[in-house]
Amino acid sequence: MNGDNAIIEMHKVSKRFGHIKALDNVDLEICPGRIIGLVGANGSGKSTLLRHMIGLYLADEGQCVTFGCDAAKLGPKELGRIGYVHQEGELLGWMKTRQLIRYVSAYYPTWNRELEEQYIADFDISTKARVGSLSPGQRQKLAILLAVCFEPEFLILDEPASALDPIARGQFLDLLLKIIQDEKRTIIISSHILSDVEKVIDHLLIMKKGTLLRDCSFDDLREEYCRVKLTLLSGSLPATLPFGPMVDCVREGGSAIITLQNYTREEIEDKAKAMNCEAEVQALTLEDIYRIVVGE
Amino acid sequence: MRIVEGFEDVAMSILAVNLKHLYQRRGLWLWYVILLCQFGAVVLPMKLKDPRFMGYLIISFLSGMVAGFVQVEILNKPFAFCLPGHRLIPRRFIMLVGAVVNGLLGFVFVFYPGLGFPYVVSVIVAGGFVGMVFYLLGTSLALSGSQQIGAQHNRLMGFSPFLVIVGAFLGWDIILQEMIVSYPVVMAGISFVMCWFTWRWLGRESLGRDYCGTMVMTMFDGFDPKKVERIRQWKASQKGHIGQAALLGWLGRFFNGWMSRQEFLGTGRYVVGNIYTALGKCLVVLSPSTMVFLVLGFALYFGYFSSMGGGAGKIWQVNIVYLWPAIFLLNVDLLPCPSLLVPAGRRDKYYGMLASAMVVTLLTGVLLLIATCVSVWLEGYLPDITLKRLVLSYQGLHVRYLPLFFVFVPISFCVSVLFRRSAIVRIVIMVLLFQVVMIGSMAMSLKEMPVGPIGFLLLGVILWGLFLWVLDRHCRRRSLV
Repeated sequence: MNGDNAIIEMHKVSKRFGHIKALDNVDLEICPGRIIGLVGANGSGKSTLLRHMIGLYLADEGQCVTFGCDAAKLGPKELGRIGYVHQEGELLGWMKTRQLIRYVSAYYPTWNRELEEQYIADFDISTKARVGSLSPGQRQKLAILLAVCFEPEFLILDEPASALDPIARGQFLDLLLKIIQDEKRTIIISSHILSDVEKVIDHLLIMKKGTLLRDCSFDDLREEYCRVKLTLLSGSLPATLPFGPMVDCVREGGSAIITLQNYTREEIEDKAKAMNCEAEVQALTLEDIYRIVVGE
Repeated sequence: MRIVEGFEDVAMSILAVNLKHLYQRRGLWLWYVILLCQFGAVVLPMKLKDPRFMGYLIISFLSGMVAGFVQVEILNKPFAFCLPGHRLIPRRFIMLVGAVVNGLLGFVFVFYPGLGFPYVVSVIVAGGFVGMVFYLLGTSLALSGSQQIGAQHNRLMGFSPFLVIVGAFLGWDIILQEMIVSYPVVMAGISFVMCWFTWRWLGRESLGRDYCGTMVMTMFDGFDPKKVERIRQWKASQKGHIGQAALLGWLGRFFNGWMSRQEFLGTGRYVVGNIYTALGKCLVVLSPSTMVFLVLGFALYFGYFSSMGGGAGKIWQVNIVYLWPAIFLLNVDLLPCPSLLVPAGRRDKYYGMLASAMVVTLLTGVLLLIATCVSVWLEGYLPDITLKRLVLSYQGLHVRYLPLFFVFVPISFCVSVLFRRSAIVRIVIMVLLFQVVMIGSMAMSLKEMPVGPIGFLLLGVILWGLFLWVLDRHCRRRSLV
């Protein structure tokens, strides 16, 4: 991801927690106007990466620059442009919901009261309940509201939908799509619910054991991998299929399902025709791609 | 765990797995150290001119609480509810641990003068049974107190050790001791019946259901900051005392108004916001009844405490009250909810945390001042209490020693900042500081301050300077969550 106007620039960032290397030489640039998916297994370093961007964690080595400012020195002006939903949804439990909203809104000159009322209604948030008494799902909705209503330029969502029910998740994804209609907005979303993430993202970061395995456009990645169902029209399938090294191959009688990397549709169809086969090319889901990339 | 063989084998292996918690659970180790320290209360009174033998009941009681909490933790896990053959294991575990602990503790009566063999055996057995009753009292309190956090049981639990000490002052232990020695069979019989009732109570059908998946807080949870925070949030969300909602509502309006008068995205707005959250957090915990309890409790306890060891007129015995709250504040979190991102940089957080420290210091200082005034007023009314050879004369607190609190409180803040994410380290330091202050106050027996006002002022400046330095380093160089 290259751009002169990157809002996040990470250069050789490393972070250790005791013996565990949470981030290992991570290089990353995030340009505005994107909606980025950040995926990886538990403990792969996703939350640590996000926390470095806002200066909650400081790198042991390397440098992280956010909105042109060293993350360690981020001030209210830069942080006032960033919305953040924390994985554990930790909020001020003793306040009532409305009190917490008023408290957070007091910090932002750009707080949108109309949006606030709309989300309260859409998400069905009880404004009179104490925050600590809310269910995890309600608390997560409230955290999203607090991060969104001042219309931040950069929205960091760390596992924002893990406690939401399917309907609320749908509303949440609609909300993200609405936010991203403003071209200056950038969203980075870390989630394990890959089926949701793939509906909204245009860029993907895949992490494993503190390293960034992939940093690319989601469309490019979907074009890079495909699944092909080969059905024999006549004769028999050759013992070795003419596709070079394949990601995966399952043969059954006169058909085979193969997973390929870096093949165009035309190339596949030509090779299938040569084998007297019919080829049905399918795009892979994000979950499939993720499994391939992390090698599982 | 063997599953195929007979039920008894399986039950035995489940019990063995439960017993392994006694060394596998890290949180217990600290309590073993605390239990070991209690042997002083067993051994020292045995060397008095009129020896006293019931100190072991403290160990029985605490062991019972420990065993109870171990089982509460297990029962609380949903998987435990579904484990085959687990229903009666808590009872077996508690009784087995109790039998071993109290069976050994009963041997203190070997040292009772003038008991011949075989009579001493019956006394040892009776002593063990009485210990078992106290053990089961601790267990029962752990089981009932942990079920509903904030329930009255919890306060009762906090009072229990205090009651044991008061009982010792009143000489109840001597009465109990003489009853054991004089009527061992009767005492063993009565204790056995009480144990049998508890055995039945622990074997009830609903035991697993009562604890499964409920919000519980045990004495080992200091190791788990996330759980502590979850419990704190849950407690804060409970319906407060009368007028609390109105008070917090007013507080919210006042501080939101004050924040709105500060510059947007400026440090002032964050500092005011932090004062609001720090104050709100304190007011949620301190209900009016809690404040009255604290003020009166401190004034009464420390007022009479000064007489112990003939300490009237000495500084520390009574004025130690000014150091205790300073040590307690070691558990204050000066940066509430760091993961709630508001526009405040690390510099702003420095000022915000400093403001929180000031608010907490002032609030506690005001409470201490009130306690001091109350104690001075009470001095004119409260009579002497005579307990055998001990005369407890009430002595009011001396306001001139109030600065002790302000001088030493930055040490607690330093620990609180340095070990923000390690509650157990804070607890250990807190216990150590309490011991140092207690023993120091007994040992020093000062009638005058060791340093003059200028010395104290200088010490205060140094300690507050140290706190500012620690806070600055934390805010500039360390992770904030």
